[in-house]
Amino acid sequence: MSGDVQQTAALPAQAPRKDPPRETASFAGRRDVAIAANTGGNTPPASTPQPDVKTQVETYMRRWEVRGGPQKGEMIINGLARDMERLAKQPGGQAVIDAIKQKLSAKDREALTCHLASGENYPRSWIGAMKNASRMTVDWGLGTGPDRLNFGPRTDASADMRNAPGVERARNYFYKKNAQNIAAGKPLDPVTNYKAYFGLKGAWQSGFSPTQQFVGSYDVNITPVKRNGCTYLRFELSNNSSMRSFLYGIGPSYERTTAGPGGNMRQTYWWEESLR
Amino acid sequence: MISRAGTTALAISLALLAPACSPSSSKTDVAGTYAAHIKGDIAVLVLNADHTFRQTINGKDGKVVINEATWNTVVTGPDEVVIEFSKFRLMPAYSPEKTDETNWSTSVERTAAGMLQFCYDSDAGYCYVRQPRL
Repeated sequence: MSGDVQQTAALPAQAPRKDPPRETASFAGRRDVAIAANTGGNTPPASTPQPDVKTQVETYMRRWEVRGGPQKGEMIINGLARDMERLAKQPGGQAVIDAIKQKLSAKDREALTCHLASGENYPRSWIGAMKNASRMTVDWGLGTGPDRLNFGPRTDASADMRNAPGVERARNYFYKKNAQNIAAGKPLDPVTNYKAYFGLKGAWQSGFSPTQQFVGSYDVNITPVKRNGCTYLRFELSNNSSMRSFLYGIGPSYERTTAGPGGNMRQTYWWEESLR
Repeated sequence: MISRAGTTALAISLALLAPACSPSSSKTDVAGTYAAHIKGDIAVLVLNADHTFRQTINGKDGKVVINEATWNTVVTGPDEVVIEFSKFRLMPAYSPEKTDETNWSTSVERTAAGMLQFCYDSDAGYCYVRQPRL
C-alpha cells in the first residue's frame, strides 16, 4: 500500500491528477455486466459468447431504467459510468460505449462524460483499505512512517471514505446550501470546516469500514471546481490521529518531535465528484 | 408476577409515554442553553431564538472569556440539521494555541439520553450538550 501514500507537507490543493493505478484491478477479466439480466449480478461462464453490440446496449439501457427509483437520473448516470469503466477493459467494449452514448440525451451524455472524467467510480477494495488502516494503526502506535499522509482519488483509503456517514451529511449540507444557486446557475458556495461527528453512533454506522473506524471524527471541506466544462466538487477530509482522540479527550496531544509512539499523525483524504 | 398481557400493556404504555418525556424535541428547535467541559474548563453557550449566541468559558485557572456572535441552521433531511457558527471561541484546555474558530459547522446529534448536542471534536469529547429547561 505504500504506493498509495504520498508524504506531503501541505494540503494537496494543486496536487497532480496523475494517480498511479492500483495494483489489483478488481474488474479485470470480468464480463458479467455485459450479459447480466436486468436484476444484474449473474456472471456467465467464461465460454459464453459475447452478445452483439445492439443486444448489449439494450441490456444496459433496460438495466438502468429498471434500477431507477427516487434518484433515477443520478442512478442511471452512476450505473452507466460504472459499467462503462468495466466495458472499456473488454475487447470491443468501446463500440458498446459509443452506442450507449448515442442513445442518451445531450444532457445525460454531458453528465456521463463529467462523471467518467472525475474518476469517482474508482472501486472500493475492502482488503486494500484494511491493509492501509492496519499499517496506519501500527505506524501511529510505534511512531514510524510519515507523520503526514495524503490519499488521493485512486486510493483505497479515499474510496473507503467516500460514503462515510459524515461525508454523506456534509454532501447533503452542500446541496441544501446551494440548492438555489444550482437551480439558478449561480456560483456555488463551498462548505468549509464541517466537523463530522463520530461517537458511538458513528462507530456503529461505519460498520466494517477499516478507514472510517481508524479515522473517527474529521473535518470536511467541499470546494466547487470547474474544469473542461464540468463542475466537480473537491472533497478534502482532514484528520489528526492523536493520543487525545485515542483516549477520548483524556490524554494529551503531542507531536512526534516530542515522542514518537502515539504522536500526532495527520491525514488528508481527497477526491472529486461531478456535480449532481 | 405480572401476566404476559400486563407486561405487553406496560410496554405499550411506556412506548407511548416516552416521546412526552423526551428531554428534547425536534432537532430544528435548537435554541437553548448548552454546556461543554474539557479538563476543568467549562463552557456555557446560549443560543438565542434571534440567531445570536453568547458563549461563556470558565477556565480552570479562573479566567472567564465571553464571546458573542451569530448562529444558523440548515435542514438537510428528515430530522437532520446542520448548525453553523460565524465566530467561536475554543476552550483553552482543548486548544491552547488556537483560541478562535470562524465559520465552522456540524450536524446536530442526540446523546444516548436523547439530549441535543453538537460536537466540535467528538473524538476528544468536545461536545455541547443541551441543558434541560428549568
